[in-house]
Amino acid sequence: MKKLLAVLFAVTIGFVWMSGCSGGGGSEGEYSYEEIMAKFTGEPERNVTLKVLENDIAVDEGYFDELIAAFNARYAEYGIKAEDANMSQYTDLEKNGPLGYGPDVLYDANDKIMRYAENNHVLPLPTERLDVYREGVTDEAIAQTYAMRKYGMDLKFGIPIAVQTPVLFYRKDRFAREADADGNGTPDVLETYSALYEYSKGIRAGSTNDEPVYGYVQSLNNEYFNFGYLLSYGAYIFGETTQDIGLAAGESYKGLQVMQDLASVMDRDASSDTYTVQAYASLAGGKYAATITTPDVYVKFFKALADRYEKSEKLTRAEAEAKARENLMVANVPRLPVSGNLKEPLRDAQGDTFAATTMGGVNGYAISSYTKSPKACLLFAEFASQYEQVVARSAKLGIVPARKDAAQAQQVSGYSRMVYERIEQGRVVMMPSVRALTYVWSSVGSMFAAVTDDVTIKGNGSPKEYASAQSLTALLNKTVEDIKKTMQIA
Amino acid sequence: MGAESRSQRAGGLWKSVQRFFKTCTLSAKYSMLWMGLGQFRNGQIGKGVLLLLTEIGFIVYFASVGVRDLIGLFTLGTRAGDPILGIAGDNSITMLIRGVLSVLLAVCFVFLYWQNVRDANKIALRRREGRQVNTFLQSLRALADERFYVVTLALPVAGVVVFNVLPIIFTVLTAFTNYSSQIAPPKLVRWIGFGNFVTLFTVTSYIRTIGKIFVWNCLWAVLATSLSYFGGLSLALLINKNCVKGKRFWRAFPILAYAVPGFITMIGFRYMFSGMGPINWLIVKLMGEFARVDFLGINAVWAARAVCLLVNTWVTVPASMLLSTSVLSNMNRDMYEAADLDGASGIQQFAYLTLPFVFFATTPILIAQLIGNFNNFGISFFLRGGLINSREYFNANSTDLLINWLYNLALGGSNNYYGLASAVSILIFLLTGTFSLLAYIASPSYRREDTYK
Amino acid sequence: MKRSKGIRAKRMLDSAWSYLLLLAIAFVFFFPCFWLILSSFSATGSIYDYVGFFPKAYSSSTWIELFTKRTPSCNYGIWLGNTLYVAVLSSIVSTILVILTAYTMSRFRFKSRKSMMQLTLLFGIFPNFMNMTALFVIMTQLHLFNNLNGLIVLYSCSAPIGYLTQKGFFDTIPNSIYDAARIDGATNFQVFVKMTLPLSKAMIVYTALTSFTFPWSDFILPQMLLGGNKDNYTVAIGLNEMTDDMFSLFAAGSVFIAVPIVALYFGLAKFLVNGVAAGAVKE
Repeated sequence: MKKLLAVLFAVTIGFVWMSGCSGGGGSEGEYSYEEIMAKFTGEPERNVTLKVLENDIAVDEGYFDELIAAFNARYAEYGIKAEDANMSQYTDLEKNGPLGYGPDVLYDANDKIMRYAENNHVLPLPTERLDVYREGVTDEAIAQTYAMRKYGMDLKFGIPIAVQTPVLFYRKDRFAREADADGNGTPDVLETYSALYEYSKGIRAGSTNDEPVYGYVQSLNNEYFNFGYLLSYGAYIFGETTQDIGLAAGESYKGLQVMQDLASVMDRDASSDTYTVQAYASLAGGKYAATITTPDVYVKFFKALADRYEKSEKLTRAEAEAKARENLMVANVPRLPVSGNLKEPLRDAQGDTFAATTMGGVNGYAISSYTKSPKACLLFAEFASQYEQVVARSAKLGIVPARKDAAQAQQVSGYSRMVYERIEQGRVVMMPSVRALTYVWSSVGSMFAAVTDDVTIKGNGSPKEYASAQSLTALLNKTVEDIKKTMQIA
Repeated sequence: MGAESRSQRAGGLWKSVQRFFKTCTLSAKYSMLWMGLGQFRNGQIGKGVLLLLTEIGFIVYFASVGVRDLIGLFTLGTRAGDPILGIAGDNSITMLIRGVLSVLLAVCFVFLYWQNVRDANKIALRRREGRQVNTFLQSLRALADERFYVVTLALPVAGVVVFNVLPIIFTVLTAFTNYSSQIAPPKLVRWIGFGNFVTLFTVTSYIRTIGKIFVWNCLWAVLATSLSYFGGLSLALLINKNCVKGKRFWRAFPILAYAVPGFITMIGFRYMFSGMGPINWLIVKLMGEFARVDFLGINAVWAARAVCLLVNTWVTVPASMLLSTSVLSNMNRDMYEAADLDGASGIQQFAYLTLPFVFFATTPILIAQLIGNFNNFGISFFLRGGLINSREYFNANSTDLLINWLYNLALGGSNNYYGLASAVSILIFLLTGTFSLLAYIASPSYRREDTYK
Repeated sequence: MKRSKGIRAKRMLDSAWSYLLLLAIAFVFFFPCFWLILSSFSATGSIYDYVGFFPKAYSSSTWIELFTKRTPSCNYGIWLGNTLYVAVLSSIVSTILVILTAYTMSRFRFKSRKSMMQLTLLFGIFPNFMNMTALFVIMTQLHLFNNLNGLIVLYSCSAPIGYLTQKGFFDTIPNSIYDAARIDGATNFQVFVKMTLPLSKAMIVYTALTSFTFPWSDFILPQMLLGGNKDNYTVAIGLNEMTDDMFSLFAAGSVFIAVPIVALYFGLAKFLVNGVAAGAVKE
């Protein structure tokens, strides 16, 4: 009897469990374009609320509120409302989506969106209806980051909004006495890495150990930025297949040599994983004069600098912001020496150097496959990617628009045009939108750390273990092998 | 022991079942036909109705979803879904868990059925002997009193089954599937037998990582436990010294450290030991720029391990001190006086009196601490700041323990290897389970539990 | 005479050493806590504006910000409410379940008891989050994912696994007390309520305290089971997501959630010591 009741209890729990059952059918096969786009045909859903997962900076700075207010006003007649999904920006659609917990529309980087696309978690979009995909609106290199072949067709899974690639941030006041021979508005020492190296070395030597001051500092811990050095000297990520990994191609070891030289004049904190956040305060505090990072954090540097002026110089907020805007400059990534040796003085600042290539990515919107109102979602993504909205976003947050027309708009900061030119010249290599990339990042990250630690920690300023081109090439080749091994497992 | 005795026991069981069939009452046979019928025959209407309804419930469950779920456990789904086209398809993972549940329920059903037959038989025999038979209400009352433990344990046991046992079964089963973020619903997950274990032990980068992590994990468990154990004991002895006044005051500082939530302590220490943190500032101040230590850097090994040990000691010594203090307060003072008279030195007293006593009294806790440290997830996670890929490691760094690696594999990076991670769980489970079960069973307090009262 | 002087000198030296050591230890334990408190009063908020261990300038602005700011990255009021809700309810339910389990396992002898004890030992060494994928799936199936109540259910249901300390305590209550009551005709329920509970106040307080502090400062399970939904954030998740330039906010938020625990620990220090000892001391 006693056992009977105990077990009965367990049984009840079991029955409570059986609340919902799954079902449905399906088969694999050929589909026409119309069938694939079926979710987007017809009148938009009415009286629905869309959960939009936005980038944190856009939410914090208030742009997102403006965007949804404008959208909700525009589509009030349909009863379509967009709201903040209010989720962590690292929420994984791959995990939550199938269980019905994800957002309807999400803003993310192309590599992540395309990872979702691989397993059908985001919808392919009817590009023929989208303004951004009209001829000439978005550069082909940008548009391609959202392309994937599925169902035997070339489909696009995202709506490009902002381009991410390193640019040089610097404080104007720190370079006030530097010459600008070519009169392009950027001091000459910021035009080539060789000159910047010399400058940084001098600045560090001229400051005390108690309160060190640095010239150029950049994160040595960021695979994404550092990969640019390898790319500039002829490396590539993937060739025809993901089995062809071109880390050691060309003279990519020279890229590592440039990093070693730069690391020797940098703050040791550059190899810390918290560097990115620290850089805002250090640039604002005058500890650093210049750094490279992506344009979307412009607003972080700007705020840190304005805060600093407001507090230390007792300015009003408006005055502090004006002063910060005046002082915080953005320029192109410096040119690299052909020799790969920063210590060797340049005879010809143009002829001995070449324009650097950087890694790039595209942030944009995608629509979850699990949304109940795909047509309304498409309306939102269309609305947010319009010329006016992208210009407003760029003016508020400092991002570089993916739309060419927006990048050239008056209200948008000058570096947007500059970055766009670089993309058109093919000097921005967009992150491949394949899952295999994640295996590259993890191996490459520890390789960069090994090379720069060799200078900063082990070598006290000059390389020890990786002092020769041979040893660096060997390291690159070994890293390629490591990546291939991890790829095999997966 | 072993196969022979087990087969004997199984044979014995079969024989006793046969014997039961031959000798049982008619009521029992009724109950075999349908749950509750025997009880009706015995005149226990309330109980009979309850059992009857239970069987109907079970049959409805198995007819509607149970059988389907049971089959699903084996197939893990036959139709892949495609959310792009709106094809729902089968969700292998929910099928797995519902399948496990249906098995549990089936076992439950068989057990219940057997109990129902036995109950009918027992009551019938009692009636035959002319003894009084409980009414339904009386049965309930008896349940609440004489079988008080059934009432009190029902809820805890049910909770533990659903939230501990079921997850463990699920984890063990996942280890035999190819479940990962690449093969997850809407795609179909498949059974792959020992594939994950084979991968774990044949692919070089895994083996190398596992080997390194395992060696450090064992070293860590021993070092961390002894540091905190002896640290706490020494501190307790120090405060207990006769010459120390204001014992409560001195004890307050470790208790303060004990009370601060662990993750705060660890994040705080991460900042302290970071590249630009105060500790490095101090080092640079005292010894110059090049003396800086990259304590928790991406490829740091021994420096990072030392910091982890240090912080762990800081976090765990207070509890260990409290424990030692209370154990020491139970010690017989006379022994020390006798030792004093015999001229034993302080060190001798410690080695021959204090240590054996404390050690003996705290063996179970020591074992638990050893296991706890073996699976100390927080230290590396918070101090290193999540997933860091060190060189020579795959998805791990030098201070990660097996349990951190498991987390990194399952949830850490952008690629989640659930199947592999479950295989690692099984390894950890086998290691710690064997160790602790042996240790517990061998420990005196477990054996002599009942002789105490 | 000479000898006793020598002993006295030795004793003096000994106690001097002891106090010196104690001072050092007190410093080691106190300083990080003190550092955190000072950091919470840093004027700029970022950890990079420090000179060595200490902020350059102090102000109370962080504390005001902590309770007034309503941005996604700092919504302390909501976090605190969620944490309190989860911790208090988990503590109540867990305490009931643990005390019941421990009492039963200590007091009653039944057939499956020994095997149940061995099984719980086995489960106890299998940390709950080792099954995180499973928990994730189960919680979604029970519609408890992305839900604070789900956390409460999970904490409470896993609590009985750790009943050993409490059982150790109940083992120390002699059976003769119960037997006398039973002879007087009290039911087991009456015995439990009227005799056991009053005797075990200390143990109940200890259990409630430990089962309050765990959810109060847990990070892993909330992170996993709240689905990144910011309305459901607990203090631990929120603080952990703060970046380095919000260090003083982190420090203030940490100090604020540490204070109740510290107060509880000091207020209930006696129970704590007894509780820790109960599981261990048997002989």
